[in-house]
Formats: sequence, structure tokens, C-alpha cells
Amino acid sequence: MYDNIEEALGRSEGDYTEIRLEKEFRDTVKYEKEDLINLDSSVESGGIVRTLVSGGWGIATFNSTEELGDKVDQATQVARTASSYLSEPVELADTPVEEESIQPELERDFRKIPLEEKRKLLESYNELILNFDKRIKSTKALYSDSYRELTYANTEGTRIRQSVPDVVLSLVSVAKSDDGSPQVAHDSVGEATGFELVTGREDMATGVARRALELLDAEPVRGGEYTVLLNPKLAGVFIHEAFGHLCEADHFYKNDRLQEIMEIGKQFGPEDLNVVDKGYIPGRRGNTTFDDEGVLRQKTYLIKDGRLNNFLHSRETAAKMGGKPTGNARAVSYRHEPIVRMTNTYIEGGVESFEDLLSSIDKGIYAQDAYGGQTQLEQFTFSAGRGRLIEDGELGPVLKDVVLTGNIFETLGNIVGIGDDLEIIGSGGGCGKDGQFPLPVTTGSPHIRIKNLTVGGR
Amino acid sequence: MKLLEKASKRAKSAEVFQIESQSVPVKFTAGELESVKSYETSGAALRVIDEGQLGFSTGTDLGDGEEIVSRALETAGIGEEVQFSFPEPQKTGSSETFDGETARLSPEQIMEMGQRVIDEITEFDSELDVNVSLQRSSDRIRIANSNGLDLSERRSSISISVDVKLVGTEDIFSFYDSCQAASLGNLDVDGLLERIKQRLKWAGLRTKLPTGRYPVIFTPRGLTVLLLPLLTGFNGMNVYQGTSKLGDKKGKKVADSSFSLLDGGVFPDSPFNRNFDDEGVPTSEKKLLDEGVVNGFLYDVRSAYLAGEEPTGNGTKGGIRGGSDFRSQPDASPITVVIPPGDRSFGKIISDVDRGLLVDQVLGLGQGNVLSGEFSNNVSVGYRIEDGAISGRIKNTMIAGNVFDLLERDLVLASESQWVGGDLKAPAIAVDGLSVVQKD
Repeated sequence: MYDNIEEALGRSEGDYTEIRLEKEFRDTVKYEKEDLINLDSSVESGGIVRTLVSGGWGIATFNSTEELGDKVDQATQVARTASSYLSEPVELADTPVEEESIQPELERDFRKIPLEEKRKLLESYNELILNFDKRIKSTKALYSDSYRELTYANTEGTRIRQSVPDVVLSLVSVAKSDDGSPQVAHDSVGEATGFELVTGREDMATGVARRALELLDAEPVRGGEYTVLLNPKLAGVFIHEAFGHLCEADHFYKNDRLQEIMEIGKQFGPEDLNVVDKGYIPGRRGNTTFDDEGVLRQKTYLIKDGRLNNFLHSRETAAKMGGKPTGNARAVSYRHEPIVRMTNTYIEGGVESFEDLLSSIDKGIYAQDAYGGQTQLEQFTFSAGRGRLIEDGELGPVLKDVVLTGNIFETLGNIVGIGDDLEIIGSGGGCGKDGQFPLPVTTGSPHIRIKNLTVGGR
Repeated sequence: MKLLEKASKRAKSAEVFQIESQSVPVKFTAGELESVKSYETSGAALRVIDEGQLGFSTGTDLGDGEEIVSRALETAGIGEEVQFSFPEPQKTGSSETFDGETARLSPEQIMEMGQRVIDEITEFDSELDVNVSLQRSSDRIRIANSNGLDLSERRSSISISVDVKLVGTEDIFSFYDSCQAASLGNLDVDGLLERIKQRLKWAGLRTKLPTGRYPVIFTPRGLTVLLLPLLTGFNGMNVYQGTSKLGDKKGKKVADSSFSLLDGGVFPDSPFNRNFDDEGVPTSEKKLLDEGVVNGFLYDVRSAYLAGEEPTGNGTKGGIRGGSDFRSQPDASPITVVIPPGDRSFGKIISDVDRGLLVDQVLGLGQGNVLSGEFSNNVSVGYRIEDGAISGRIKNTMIAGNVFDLLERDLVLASESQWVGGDLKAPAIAVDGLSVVQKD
């Protein structure tokens, strides 16, 4: 494959050119209620050329990789047009030339598992949920695996081949009593591993069934300000959504005022708060051994001892801000150019036990699991899968419709307890940014306690 | 079509969905050109029914089609037993879906459009940080099946989306707006700029709204808060699965009689037309809610079969022009949604409010229990109304409620309608007594 690429790169008239080719094999099985709603075995291939001409980016994406040289010409042509409009040419920070080939070792390679076995496994989980209770009205059960073969080369000499496995199991149950509203519970696992991740997950199936039933009797949360104890799953989503995105340098590398707000060394949280983005943890789905600019992964402290420590960079944002590339330029597929993204992002463990965190709360909410979250710079919102009322340090009734919101700078300052029980969690779904979705990421955290957090409700 | 022939030889029936798409996205960051892209997609999806079982596969570089056919047949071998068949050929509309001039817009022309938008906004306030993405696209879609259906259509589009940030020392104000159309002539850039300037004018003063219950007016864009759960209730698959709150309400009144809801593929002034859905079924216009009464639901071929109904022309693979995710199987979803306007002007509705909230944009859309109609959102763009006038921008404010409860109350619909994002036309709508939580 490199021959084709070498020839095309050789033809490039740009100041810098990179080519990324991808071939993806994926299987999908999906049940809804009793119905096998999707069974899909597909292969997709395509590529992207990105080139810099006089400091202007030109990009071409395509499915047919036969006339690669023409795609380089095409990208060069649009780059020329772009460069004539530029007030400030793009520069790229230096990065070592890399030559590497990476193949994952999978315990049970899902490519060798017959589709029928995948279907049967998912069917068994689906039936477990459906038959759990007559009030379970519907389900959504999804199995998907993907194996992406990536080839990357640029005119600086970097040549990387890497294969990226991804396997996901996601289960949703919908319960409804005769007169009530439907209630939904979900759970998922997703990792860069083999088929072994998704077998033996009967507890996960019965768990989502049980939780949907619990929600039938749950009280809606009363809106207001509370001390909130976040479980690791939700706290992980919180730190990813609310703070991680803010550290992506492409949000502010051209905005001086935002850079003043995001000043390195500024105190953002308590002394014992450390937030990390780590490009490689064995088996994790956020792993990015080499990013889509050929930069080697690293471990980046975003917050160290409560102070802003570093940003996540692409080569472009690093050059503009005088930083170093951090291996965070990622693209969701060959259809997109790399942009600054997270990998495996987590809050490091502290010293407090779960009991200590809980017992000192007079009135509060224990918010568990996450439906999702969204941020708009300093503002964030995220939805818990469920919650429990906390009274006098004890867990009380189950709550539903728990949505937390706030201003990130204020909220980080209001963290008043970090647990000793760090969990790094790979789940299904993925992260979305600038139309690139879903990007596999991993989040993690111990239990954390936050005071004065706004909870929406009626 | 070769692929269809090949598949039909080996399976009892087959359907091919093909898309060839070309687009030029142009991106400006912080008011400066960031990148220009040339984007080509060529993909196909194959559904087969063999021995009564459904199989599916998709691909891009198809070659002789051998791999995709084999994979689809392999999945059919262990696939769902289905009774439905692919649609028969039917007469479809012939509304214009393609504009040659729009499809040929050069990168330079698109860059100039983007620059104009940036100049106009920064002229209003030079401190603003403006990101603009523009894209022109042209697709060629073909759907053919072994029942003899063979439809193709070219669809063009041009879109502009704008992200504006105003960064102060204590406060960041940020919002988003967009417009899109099948042809440049129908692209409402002036309307887009007017809305952006209006928001900035209203945003000048920061204020708070004490926690409580208030009348709330949703702008057409803000209305997605209510429409997302509501439309989920009209999804035929949810109706069949018993998870729709509206499933057993056909013929019953669920909303104020001032509120009607239409779906279809062709509307007289629509910025986009689509004559058929992604399964080749004509996109008929239908009333989902007729003066507050549930009139019907949205079905693709499969959900219609399961529910014992007829397909309504709502089988889609996503995206405003259809087929944007050819990798997925078709799903029942709205094509273009229209809410007919009311008879009171927007200005009059505002002036009737003593104290209340105008909601234009929120965070966390669709992240709660959508099926039950619950919503709980952080209002990212909202304004306090005091004594019948906008008194300033609010912040750190949550709204929460249940769509199905709210719609039963007295609603006031504005007499002016607006296209939002090219596939929704709606007026502003006022509801009473919504819960608002304001952080001190």
C-alpha cells in the first residue's frame, strides 16, 4: 500500500502533505423488543489527503483510492485557493519522524467469531431483559465491533500502520406501568479488546431491567442547589464534558481573551485535584497510540495540584500557542481531518472513602451514571441515569430526571472531596465535536463531592 | 443496475440504495479562513430478503459487488424473519430538488459568502469571536428494488452555520444559528444575520430571574426543547413497541386546539424538497396533530408492517437531503415538520407577559427521558421578560417540565413563522407556568 502513497506524496507540490487511508470491517447486531432490527456485516474504505500550501489547508476525502495522485492534486488546488485568503499562515509544530507498525493482540479476535454467535449472545441478553418482569415493555440491545486498518504517511517521512479494534455492548430497557410514563435505564461497555469483553454480561442485562423498574416508583428530583455526590461513571463524564473540552486548544488558540481565562498556573480546583488525559492504557477504547498527525501518545496533566497545567494540542494549535503537540489530533474516520480531541481522560484518585464522602452530607443527591452531557465553553449540563436522595449522611429514596448544570470554573472550585476509588470506564457511544461523532473515548474518576451544584427539576 | 441484478440472482428480493455525494465545506475560525475541503462519498447499501429472512450490508469501494452481495446474503442466512416486502413502484411528486448553480458554487464564491457573514457580524461588535462553516453539496441518490421500483434524484444544498462567542472577564456568551436551502436563491442569509444581531442587542444587559414558575416563550429555534420528545411520540416503531406516550391516543386530544403539527417532504416555501424517502416511498404531506388531536404516526416500511399500518414516506437514513448515513438501515423519522402559526404577533405576545422567560437555545437537548416527555435543560440563550419587554439576558438558569403536560395547557402561537435549519417551520410558542431554577 505504501507504494501507492509514496508515489502520490512524491507528486505533492504542497509545503506539507499527509495521506491517511482506512479500511474498516464492522459487524452490527441490534435487537429492539423481540425483533432483530439490524444485522449488518460491512466493509468500508476510503482516505483523506491534507496539504498545506503557503500556510493554507486544502483537504480532499474520497472512497476510491486508486487515483491517489489526483486526490493530492485536488487538495493542493483547494489549498491554493485557501492560502490566497489567509491573513496568517498556518504553521505546524515540530514532531519527531516516526516509523512504526502496530497490531493489537486480541484474546478472542472478534473477526474470527461467526456472526451467528454474536447474534445469539445478544439475543440471550435481550431475552433476559424482556423476560425479567412484565412491566418491561421494550429493549434496545446493540452489539458492534469494528476493526480499522489505518495507514498514515506524510512528506516529513513519518510512516505508520496501526490497526484499531473496538467492541461495544449496549443494553437499554424501557419499563412502563399501566398508567405511568415510560422509564429508561441503560448500560454499556466498550473497549479496544476482543470478544471476551462482551461475554458473561448477564448481570449487566438484569441490572438495566432492575433499574428501569426502580425508576417507575422513583420521585422526580426537586430543582435547586445541592451538595452532590457523583459516582465514578458520572464524574468521568463530568470531567470529560465540562473541563476536558475546554482544554482542547482549538477552542481558544485564536482567541486572546479566552487564553487569559485559560491561563496556565491558574488555580481551578482544590489542591488534591489532578486531571489527566492519557493516550494509552492497555485495552482502552480512547487509546491513540499515534494520533492522526503521526504524533506519539503521551500523558498530559490538564490540572495538577488544582492548577491548570497544560492543554491538548494538534500540531497547528501547538505552533500557534508555543506549546508541544500532545498526540490529541484525532479524526473519527477517513471522512474527516484531525481535530483536537481527548483520549482516556480521568480525575486521579484521592484519599477519602465512599463512606466518608457520604456521611458528611446532611442533605444532598447521589447522582449515578450518565445519559450524556453537553458543554458550551464555561457552561455545562449533564444528565444522571438515576439518583438517590441523601439525608443525614444516608442514602434515601431513588430519584429520576436528575440533570446537573453549572459554570465549570465555579464548579471545579466547589469540589470538596475526592474519593480513593478511581474507576476508568469504557462505555459505548462516543464523543461528538464539530460534526465528528462518535469518537471512542474513555472517561474515569473516583467518587467526587461537589457543593452548591444546580439541579434542574420541577 | 448491476448490483441489483447480481443480488436478485441470488436472493428472492433485493433493494439497493446508492448515494454519490460531492461537497465543498469551508471553515472559518475566529473570523479567519481555516480550511477548504473537497469531499466525495460514494456508497451503497444492500438489503436482501432471502427465504423470508432479511440481510443487510453496506460498502464503498464496491468493485464487482461480490463482497457486499455475499455479506448481505450471509446476514440473511441468520437474519430476522420478515413478512414485509420492498415497496412497489408508486407515483412520486416532481418538485424541484436540485439547483445547478448552487451545485457548482466555487470555493471562492463560498469563501466570499463566509467573509460577508463575518464582516457583518463583526461590524456590529468587533470584539466578537465568530466561527463560520459553509458547505455546498450535491448528491445523486438512486433507489432500486426487485419489485421494479427505480427512482433517482439529484439534490443540492447550501448551508451556513455560525457560532458566535462574546468573551468577557466574568462571562462568556455563546450561541449558534444556521440556515440552509436547496438553492442559493432560497438561502435566507439576511434572516440569519438579523437573528444574530437581535440576540446580541438583547444580550447587552445581564440579569437574573428568581426561581419560580413563569410564562415561557420558546422561539422557533428554542422549540426543539418541546419538539424532540413530542416527535419521539409519533415514531411508528415506538408506537409499535408500546413506548410512545401517544401510541394509544389516536383520535384523542393531547394538545391545545391552537396546535397542529404536519410532516411531509414538499411544502410550498420549503428550502428543501424531497419527493420520496430513502426506501422510495412518496413523502406525502400528513397531519400528525390536527388542532390538538392525534391524527397519525410516522412509519417506514418495517415499522408499518410490524404495526399493521401503511408506510408514510418517513423511512430515512438521516440528514436533510436523505441518505447522509447510507450505512444505516432506514428508520422512521420526520422529514420536514411544519407547525401552522397562530394569530397574535410575537411582539404582542411578549408585551402581554408581566414577568417571564424567552428561551432561544438550551444545552442538553435529548439527554433526559425523552420517551416520557421529560426535559430539563440549561438555558444557554434566554432573556428575561419584565413588564412586557425584554429586560436582559439570563444565565445559569434551568427549565424543566414535561412536554405532554405542557401542550395540554393554553398555548399561544405567534403569527410569524420561521424556518429553522431547513426542516422545521414554526412560530414562537408561549406556555404558562414552567418551572425555572436560577442559580444565585
